[in-house]
Amino acid sequence: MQISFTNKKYGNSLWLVAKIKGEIDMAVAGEFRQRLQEKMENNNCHNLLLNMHDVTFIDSSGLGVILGRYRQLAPIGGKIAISGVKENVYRLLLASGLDKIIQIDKPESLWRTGEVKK
Amino acid sequence: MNDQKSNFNKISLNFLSKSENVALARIVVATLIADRDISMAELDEIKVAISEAVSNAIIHGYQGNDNQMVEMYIELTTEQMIISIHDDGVGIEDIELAMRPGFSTLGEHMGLGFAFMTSFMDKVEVQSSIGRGTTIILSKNFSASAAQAI
Repeated sequence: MQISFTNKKYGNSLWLVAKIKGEIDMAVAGEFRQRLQEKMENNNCHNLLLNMHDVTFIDSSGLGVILGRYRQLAPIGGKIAISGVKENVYRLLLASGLDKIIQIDKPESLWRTGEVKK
Repeated sequence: MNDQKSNFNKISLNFLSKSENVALARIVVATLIADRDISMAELDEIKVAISEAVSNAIIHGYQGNDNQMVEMYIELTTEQMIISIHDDGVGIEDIELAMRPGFSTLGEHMGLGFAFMTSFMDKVEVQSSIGRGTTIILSKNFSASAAQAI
């Protein structure tokens, strides 16, 4: 797994954009959590956008890290959003229920074909 | 070469309880069934189920100790795949509680491991005894999944 960070301003809010590449399972969950936390603290940034276009696999260990960041940001009024996911990752995000608390962009491939099977 | 005999296979894989071996386990299974009559979506879901079962053995069974052995046994026929994942770890006190969605003994975990295994496989069986270890048996029925896809 690789992560690169950029800062972006959307309207009046500053977002930390984390572009993630590779597979997210228990082998990298600790590093994933640590790098997101460090960057958010250093930038004093309360909004986190996860660009998951290049994430090919995620399981509950990876989803747990995302839920953890939501729990960290929500009480201080921060936001978290996910963009660019592939269909397999999107289906898992729906199955986990994270879509109920986090804004997740629907994969482009599903715009034409309609709703993904839950 | 698609008769029952050629589709029959057995694989036994023993590996250290290191987190990097979780990927190895799911890749072995995905490679074995890549030519079966299942969709890409189902293949991805099976990979998640394997990942969850092996992660469970390492995180819960062996409490993160990476110097123990995880045993994976795969049996393939034309109709189905049975995968058993065994650890000699601490065991699960209350299997029913452990399998409940949202239940987790650890901080930042979602408690979705067994929920994903149950949703993505046709059958999940858990055998466990305290201090002796846990075996998770995952079954996937290829013909049933092909029928569902239609």
